[in-house]
Amino acid sequence: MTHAESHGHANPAPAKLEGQAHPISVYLWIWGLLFVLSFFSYLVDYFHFQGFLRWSLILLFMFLKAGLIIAIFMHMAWERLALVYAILVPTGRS
Amino acid sequence: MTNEALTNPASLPVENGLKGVVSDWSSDQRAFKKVPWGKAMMWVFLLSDTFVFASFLVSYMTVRISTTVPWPNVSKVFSLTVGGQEVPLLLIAIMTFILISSSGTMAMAVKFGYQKDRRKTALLILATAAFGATFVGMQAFEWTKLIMEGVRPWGNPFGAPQFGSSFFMITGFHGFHVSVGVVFLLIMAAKVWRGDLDRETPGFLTGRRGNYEMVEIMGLYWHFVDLVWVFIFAFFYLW
Amino acid sequence: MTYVPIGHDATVYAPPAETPEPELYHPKTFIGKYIWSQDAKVIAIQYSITAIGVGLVALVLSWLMRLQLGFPNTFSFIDPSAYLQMVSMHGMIMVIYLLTALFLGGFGNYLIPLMVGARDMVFPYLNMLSYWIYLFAVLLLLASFFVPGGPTGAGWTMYPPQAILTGAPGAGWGIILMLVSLAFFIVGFTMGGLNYVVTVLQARTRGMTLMRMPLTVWAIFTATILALLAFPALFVSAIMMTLDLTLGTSFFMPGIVSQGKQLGYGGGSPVLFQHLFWFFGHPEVYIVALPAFGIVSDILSVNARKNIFGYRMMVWAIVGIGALSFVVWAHHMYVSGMNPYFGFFFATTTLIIAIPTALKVYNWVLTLWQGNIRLNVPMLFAIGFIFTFIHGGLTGIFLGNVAVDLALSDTMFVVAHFHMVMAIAPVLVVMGAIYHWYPKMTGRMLDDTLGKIHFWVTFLGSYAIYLPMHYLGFLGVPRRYYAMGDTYFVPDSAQSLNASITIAALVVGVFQLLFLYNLVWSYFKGKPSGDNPWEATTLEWQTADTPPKHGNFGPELPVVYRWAYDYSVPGAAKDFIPQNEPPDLSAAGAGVPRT
Repeated sequence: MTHAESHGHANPAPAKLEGQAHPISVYLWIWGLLFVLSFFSYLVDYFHFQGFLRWSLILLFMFLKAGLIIAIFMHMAWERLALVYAILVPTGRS
Repeated sequence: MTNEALTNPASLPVENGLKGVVSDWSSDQRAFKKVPWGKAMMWVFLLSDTFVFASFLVSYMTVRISTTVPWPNVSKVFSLTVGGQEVPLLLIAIMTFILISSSGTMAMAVKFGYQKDRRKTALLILATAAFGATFVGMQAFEWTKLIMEGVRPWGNPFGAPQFGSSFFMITGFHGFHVSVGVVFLLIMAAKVWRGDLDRETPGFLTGRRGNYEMVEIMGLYWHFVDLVWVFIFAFFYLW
Repeated sequence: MTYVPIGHDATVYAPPAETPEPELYHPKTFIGKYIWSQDAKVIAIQYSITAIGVGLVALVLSWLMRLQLGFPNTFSFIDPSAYLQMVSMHGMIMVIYLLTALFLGGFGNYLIPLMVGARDMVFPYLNMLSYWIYLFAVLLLLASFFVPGGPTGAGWTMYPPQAILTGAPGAGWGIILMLVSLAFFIVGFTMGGLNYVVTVLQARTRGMTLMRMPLTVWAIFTATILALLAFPALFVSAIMMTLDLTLGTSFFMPGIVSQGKQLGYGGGSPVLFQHLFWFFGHPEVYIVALPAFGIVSDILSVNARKNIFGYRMMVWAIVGIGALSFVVWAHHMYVSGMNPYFGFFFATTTLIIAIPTALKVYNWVLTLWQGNIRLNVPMLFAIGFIFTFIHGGLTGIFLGNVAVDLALSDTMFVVAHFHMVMAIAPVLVVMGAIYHWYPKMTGRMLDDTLGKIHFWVTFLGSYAIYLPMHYLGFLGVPRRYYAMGDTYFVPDSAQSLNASITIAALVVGVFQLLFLYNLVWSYFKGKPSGDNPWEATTLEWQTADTPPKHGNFGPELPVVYRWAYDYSVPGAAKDFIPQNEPPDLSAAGAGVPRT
C-alpha cells in the first residue's frame, strides 16, 4: 500500500466536509431565540411566580432551551436517526 | 458480471427515516454513517457526563428535601444592588446570556470551519474562549461575594447548610468544565490559526491528523457545557 | 477491489474504517513498545498484570479473614479493626480493581480490535492514558495500607454515616484515599471505555456487521456501556463523601451524636448515598458478569464444535440484561426502610432479569447438547461456570424477594450468594479465558495437566467453601462479624463448619499459585501453539503472526463473510469455517455477483 493511496483512504474529507453547512441566519435566529427564552425564565423569578405555575414555566423554558441547543447548535436535527436514537434513548431513561 | 455497488459504494441508495436506523445498525464497518471517530467518542462521553450532572442535580434535590432547615431565598441571595435598588439574580442572568452567546459564536465557528475559512474560524473560537473566560471570571466574582457574606460549604447565614454545599459543588464542577473548555478552545484556536487543520498536521501528543471536524467536536463539548448551565440555572437558581 | 457483497453489504456507503499503516504510531524504542505503549494488546497485558497483582493482595486478605473466622482467638495480629479493613479492601479490590479492570481493560483491549478486525483501538493515546491512570488509582489504593490508621474498614459499600465517623477503622486517611482512588479509576476507565465503545461501533472491518460479532465482543461492549452510565453515580457519591469528610458538608450526614458529642453535621440523607451507590453497584454486577457470559459462550461453542444455540437471542439477552440492570438497584436496600411499594417494584424487575439470564443458561446447555465436545481446560472452566452460575442465580431468586431477603439480609447466605454468582463464576471464566487466549498472546500452550489439576481443585474447592456458607446463613450467622461469640441460636457446630471452610479456602488459594507457576513456566517452555490451536473461527485466530504484531493484521484487513459460529457445517471440508473465508462460489446456488 503506497502512502498516497492510504492517505486517500484515511481522509475522505472533501466528501465529508459538505456536512453541517447551514446558513448563518439559522444560528443567529436560534441565538436570539435562546436569549428570549432565557429572558422569559428570568422573568419567572422577577415577577415572583410561585407554586406549580413557577415550576411548570421553569421546566418549559428549560426544555425548550435544551432542545434548541441540542437540535440546532449540536446539529442533532441533521444527524442520521441511528445516532439520534443512540444518544437520546439512554438519556431519556436516566 | 459487473455491479456498480462494488466499485462505487456511494452509488447505493441511502435509506432514511426508521428504515435508515435499521440499515445503519445492521450494516458493517460503522453504525453511525459519516460520523468521524472523534465525534462518536464525544457524543458517548457527553452521554456519560450527562449522568454525572444528573447525579449531582438529583443529589442536590434530595438534600434540599431532607434538610430540616428552610432553604434560603435563592433569588435574594444572588441579587445585586444596582443604583440603590435590589435586582434579583442579575449576575446569574448576565452569566446565562454570556454563556449562550459563547455557544452562538461556537456554532458559527463550526460553520466557517467547514467552509475552510481559517481566519473567521479562529477569531470566532477566540471569541468563544473570551466569553467562556468572562463567565468563569464572573463565577469567581460570585463565589467571592458569597464567601464575603459568610457562605461556606458547611453552613451559611441564610438557611440550610446544604445550600452552600450544593452551590459550591455544582457550580464548581460546572466551572471546572468551562475552564477546561477554555483551555482547549485556546489550543484549537492556535491550531486553526497556524493552519494545522488545513495541512493535516499530526497532533503533538496523539499523532492524530488535524481536520476541521475537530472544531465541530470541540463545539459539541462547548454546547454541552452551555446545556448543563441551562439545567443548573433552572434547578438551582430558579427553583 | 474484489469482495463479495452478501447480507448487509448492500448498504455500504462509508469509506473503509481503518487506520492505514503509515498512520499507526509505530514504537521504536523498548520504552515506547512495552512501557508507554499505545498498542491495545500491550495495554491489555499491562492491565491484566496489574489487575492480577492487586487481586493477589485481595486473595491474601481473604485468607487472613478466613483464618480469623475459622480459628478465632488464634491469630493475635488480626484485631476487629484489622478484620473490618480486610473485608472492605478485599471487596473493593476484587470487584473493581480486579474484575472490572481485567474483563474490560484486559480482555476488552486485547480482544475487541482483533475480533472486529480493527488495527487498534480508535484512540490509542487515550487508551494508554487510561492504563496509567488506572495504575495510579491502584497505587493510591495500596498506599492506604501504609497510612496512619490503615485502610478504610467501612465495608466495600462505604455506607455513611459510619464510614465518616471516627469510630470506623481508617476513618482518617484510609477512606479518603479509597474515595480519591475510585474517582481516578473512573476517570481512567472512562477513557478506556470510550475507546471500546467507539471501536465496536465505528471501526469494524468490511463485512463485520453487529450481528456477526462474536458474543465476547457483544458482551464486553454492553458491559462497557453499562460502566459508562453507572460509574458517574459512584463518581458523584465519591466526590460528595470526600466533601463531607474534608469540608464538613452534610450531603450524607444527618444530625448525629457520636461518642457523647453532637457533631456539626445535620440534614443530609444517608439513604441518598445508598441509592447512588447501588445505582452504580447493581450495573457493576453485570459489568463483571456480562463479559463472562460472552466469553463462556465463545469457549463453549469452539469446544463443542457447534454453533452457539440461538445467537440472536443471546445478543438480545445481553442487551436486555444490560438495560434491566439499571432498574433493579434498590433490591440491595430492602432493609433500608423504604416504601413497601418500591420493594414490590424492585422485586418484580429483579425477577424479570431471571428471564434473559435463564435463556442464556438454556442456550449454553443446548449448545453442548450433541456437541462433539473437546474436554480441554478452557472447556472445563466454561462448564464449571455454568454450574456455579446456576447455583448463584438460584440463590439470587431467594434474595430478590423482599420477604425472604428481610430474614437473610446481612447473613452469610448473602456472602455465599454473591461469591457464587459474581466471584467464583466470573473468576472461573477469567481462568478459562486465560487458558483459551494465552496461546494467542504468547504463541505457547499452557500446560494441560497442571491446568486440569488447577481446575478440579478450584471448582470443587469453591463448592467446599460456599455450599456450607449458605447453611451458615440459614443458621443466622451474620456477615462482616469479627467473631460469632455466644448466641442462643447458632449451634457450636457452626464453628467447625467455619473451620472447614477456612481450610478449603486456603487449599484453593494455594493452588492458584500453581496457575501462576504455569503461566510463567509455559511462557518459556510451553508447547508452541501455532496460529489456531483450538481451530476457532473468529478473526483473532486468523492473524498472520502469533502473537499478532502491532497493527494486528498484515497489510490488508480481513474481510468478513459469515458469522462467528460456523462449526461442523454440513458438507464443509473442515469442521470450522473462519469468518474471513469467502463462500465457495463454484457450489450450486451461489448466485452472488463478483467483479
